[in-house]
Amino acid sequence: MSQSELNNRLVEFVYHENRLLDDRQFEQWYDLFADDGIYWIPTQPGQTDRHMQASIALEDKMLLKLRIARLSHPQAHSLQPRVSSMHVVQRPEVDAREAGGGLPGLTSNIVYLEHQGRDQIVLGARVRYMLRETEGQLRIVEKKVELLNMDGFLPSIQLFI
Amino acid sequence: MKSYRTDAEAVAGLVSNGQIHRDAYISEEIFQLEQERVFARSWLYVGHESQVPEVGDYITLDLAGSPVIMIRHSDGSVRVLINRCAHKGASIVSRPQGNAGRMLRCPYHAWCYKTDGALLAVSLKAGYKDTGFEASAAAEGLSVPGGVETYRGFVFARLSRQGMAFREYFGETLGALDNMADRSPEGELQAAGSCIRSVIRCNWKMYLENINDTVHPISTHESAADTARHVGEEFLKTNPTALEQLLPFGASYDFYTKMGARTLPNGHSILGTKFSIHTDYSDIPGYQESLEQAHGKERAREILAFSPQNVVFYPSLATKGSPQILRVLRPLAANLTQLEVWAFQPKGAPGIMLERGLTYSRLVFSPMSVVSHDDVHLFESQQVSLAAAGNPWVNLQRQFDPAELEVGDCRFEDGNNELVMRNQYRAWHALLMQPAGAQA
Repeated sequence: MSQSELNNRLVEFVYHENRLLDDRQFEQWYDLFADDGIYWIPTQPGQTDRHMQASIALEDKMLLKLRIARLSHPQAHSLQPRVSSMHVVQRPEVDAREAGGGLPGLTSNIVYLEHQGRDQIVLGARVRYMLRETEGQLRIVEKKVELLNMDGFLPSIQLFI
Repeated sequence: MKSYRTDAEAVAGLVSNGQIHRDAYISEEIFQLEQERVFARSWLYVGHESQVPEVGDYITLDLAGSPVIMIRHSDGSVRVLINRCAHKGASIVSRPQGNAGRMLRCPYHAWCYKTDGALLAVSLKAGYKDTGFEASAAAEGLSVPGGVETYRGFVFARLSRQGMAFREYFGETLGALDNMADRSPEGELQAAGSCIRSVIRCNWKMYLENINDTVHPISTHESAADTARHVGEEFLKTNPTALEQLLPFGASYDFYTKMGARTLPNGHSILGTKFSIHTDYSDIPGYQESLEQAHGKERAREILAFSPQNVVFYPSLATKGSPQILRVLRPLAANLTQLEVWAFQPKGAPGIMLERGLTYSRLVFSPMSVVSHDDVHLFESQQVSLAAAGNPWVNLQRQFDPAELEVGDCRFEDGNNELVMRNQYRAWHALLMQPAGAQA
């Protein structure tokens, strides 16, 4: 595979990943994560420490599964009325210098909208992906969501950015 | 429309026989009166001294409508200054944190202050000769709160010159801060490098009531506890810390009936004097031994045996001794409240303790917490629905006993007794009934 073919494949993966979230295909989205994959939203610009610094979210596959399972629980009060999301995704940049898991890193700016009832929140974020290829499939080793206002006072964010 | 500011009888009628009138939660006028009469005269949590370790280190924050600077003075003490230049009122510093060196310099006209707020220099000094400047308010330098106290590293301030002395105000509630600090073999805590922040569209009192509400988890948090149980079976060994923190949210009503509670004067409380959902966290190898070595066997046992659900330092702070967490409430309006959640590392103790505190903060209090989502949803629904036609009262009468009115310091068995909330409103109401004087 040429470099540009690989890059295209990585970029398409990011679009696909975001589309699954907006289409509420949460189980399929979950399967995109490697077994040791992490979904991370830090609180500080430039934060590299996951464990000794506060994070807004730091989820392994167990916690991701818990969040997804709750989405269909009949007594998940906060999800009534239904909450839906939209990810407006900038074309991801492929950055070989941030390589992790043998593949180049990807970065994309997104606008995240979350809607419920009469309310809508809008958040901006820079999202960084570390991917790995396992048995021919791309898998997420880390999805790091750097919110523009990560150190500000945030409202409830109920779905996945 | 009635005006609470000028109508003492209307204020008197806000609390009645274990019921709270909705205006306590939804009226902007009551919110303004609260700022003047309750918050200004209470001891509010400012920050922890470990956030400003070096001379000149500072943080900035808003304290009940007053922007303040918490700064390490050149004599090593921690000072709290009002962030308002004595000249024309500009903010002296605008960063959330930083180091000012040995003096603070206003960016507007370069007036300079010592790190205790004293005026050090004004520009074009000769121009003030024979103007009466020495007798002006500006010559006094930066304003300071009516009172500032540091207790075991926790910094509190009372904005007004009126109000109780610090120890009188908190009384034996302070033992919970001793317990937290003594969870360190060195007797000191270190605040984590950053906190988790959220904003909730509800009145601050709903949040503070809920901190003492043992009856809500089983219904409010059913979805979180249920899914934690199911997913936990599949991932038994993957993330034991998260599971041991989430599973107790399914505890039954019975669990709380014998936990023990204590209400203290001025709205403070200790919920879970005997045990709580935090009691059964797994041991950390070597930790108990290090505490015994530092504090003696008896004190170490006493420290670890005290693990309440929540201790409320009315009206701005709630603590969890284990897992070393603070929740700080900063009300912005009748219908808007900011929350900060801080985790602490006990100095000299295993690093896993901070990690546990950070994990709990995130799982239970973050804007993305599946536990907090249901709380916030319900608080925000209360804020909207309390304004509805019909019943204007919030009911807090569970286990009301007229005898409780005579006792300032109440100890009882059943955490489900809403006395833990009524006690908050008695303190609130007493302060609200006293108009702020000219000396405020």
